[in-house]
Amino acid sequence: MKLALVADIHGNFVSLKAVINDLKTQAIDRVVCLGDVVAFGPQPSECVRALRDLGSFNILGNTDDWVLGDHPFSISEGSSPINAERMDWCQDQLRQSDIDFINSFEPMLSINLNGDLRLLAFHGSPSSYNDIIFPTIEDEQLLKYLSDFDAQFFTGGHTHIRMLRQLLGKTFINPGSVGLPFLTSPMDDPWKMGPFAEYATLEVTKLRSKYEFVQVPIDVDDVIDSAAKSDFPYSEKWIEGWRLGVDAIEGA
Amino acid sequence: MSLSFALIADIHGNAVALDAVATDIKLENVDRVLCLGDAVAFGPEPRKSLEIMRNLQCNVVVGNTDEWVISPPSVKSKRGKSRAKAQQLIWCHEQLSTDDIEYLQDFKPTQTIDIGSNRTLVGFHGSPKSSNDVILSTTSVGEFKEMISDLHADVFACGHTHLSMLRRHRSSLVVNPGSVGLPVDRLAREDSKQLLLPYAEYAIIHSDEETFSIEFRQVMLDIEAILESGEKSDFPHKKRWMDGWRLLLDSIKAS
Repeated sequence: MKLALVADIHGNFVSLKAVINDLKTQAIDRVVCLGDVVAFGPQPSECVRALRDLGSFNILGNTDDWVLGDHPFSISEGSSPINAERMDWCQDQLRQSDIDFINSFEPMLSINLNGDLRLLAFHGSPSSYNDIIFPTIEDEQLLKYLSDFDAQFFTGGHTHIRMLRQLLGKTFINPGSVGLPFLTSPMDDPWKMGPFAEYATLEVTKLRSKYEFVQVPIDVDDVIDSAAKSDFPYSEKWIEGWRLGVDAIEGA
Repeated sequence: MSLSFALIADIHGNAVALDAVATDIKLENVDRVLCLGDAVAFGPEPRKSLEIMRNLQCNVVVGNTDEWVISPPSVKSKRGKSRAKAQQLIWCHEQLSTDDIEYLQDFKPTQTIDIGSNRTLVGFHGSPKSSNDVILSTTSVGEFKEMISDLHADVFACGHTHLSMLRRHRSSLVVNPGSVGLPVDRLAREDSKQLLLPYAEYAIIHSDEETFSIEFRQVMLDIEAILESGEKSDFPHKKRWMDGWRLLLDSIKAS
């Protein structure tokens, strides 16, 4: 069985389309989406509907859960209103059927790969969609998250930073981000996104395992255009992130 | 144009494992194989390993243990583990022909490869500065920068740690394909047990104008064949090596 692992689409439909087109060139049996599908991007409803058409297994991300209910941001409390306005706007874009679909996302899934090999899929960590597993995490800390689970492969998103780590017979994969592939850190302000969409595939048979980290080029002008045409709040800040990413790469 | 490159590292004279990987690579029609060093030392079949590498027409970077095999240390005034290690290196050197040694001497400290579509790969064993440097997932950005200094590449590929790894450094990717011949588990090793993994590790980079990907592969090993190659070899102090593979075989049989 060959799985595609996609994560952190964040309402970027241009990038999601690029990934879906690339997936068509491969014999993928099932897409596993690791959450954060709609929030903080210009085309949330398009992303939900494309995902529904894919028939993917879906994991609930922290921002998906915020879309379903209360989000932690406030416009009135004086802090940056950006996230609050973007969350409210995102909720307004979605139809009831979109909300129902997001409501069906699972906190965690255990997927049978081959024989007794299993993949555990989650957004942040098996304990919480808010947990952060950065590529530099200490082995002992990562093991704390994974050791209770009888699986050989683990996959999570949330950080938007690709990573691969092996310890005690367990392989952890973060496929990176489809819609907001941060070049350095999600803590950067402003964000810097690379001009590509990231995903991974996983194929396990008795004789060999393969996992591939794929980077699909995107047309940054199309991405910027999708935001410019949308009434997505603070789209200029989002657009700036894509421009800064291109500048960072060209200046490298 | 679509190009693909196989990355292999840390073979350590395990020809059974290298043969399994070479078979897997041949199915893929890769354009080039890059070996990231540590080809022959501390395993039972150094000559056969080099023969397979030559058949693969590898570009090779030099590993710390390759340098030791070229000029093995003297056993004089060495005791215990370091004496055993020196004896293994001397044995390894003795197994190799003059041609083999010249082949090792030809290994480069770094290899820069044009991987197509305006992308460049720089390969090295430890770091560009030293085959003894260690780059781990947990190596700080500052330390990494120091080791890379002013080199630019789309992919930095290293070996040495025997741990497969992918991380980003700005817009570059940093890859370690893991080990072909001694795939180890870092945590288990720190418990003073040499816990090996049941598969040989390597990676393939696919590069075309559209997509760019790094694929990690785990090829299941015939552990009984590995043990047999060890039995047949007269490499000194092989007990530790044999025990590692036996422990793995036992743990697989038990589960």
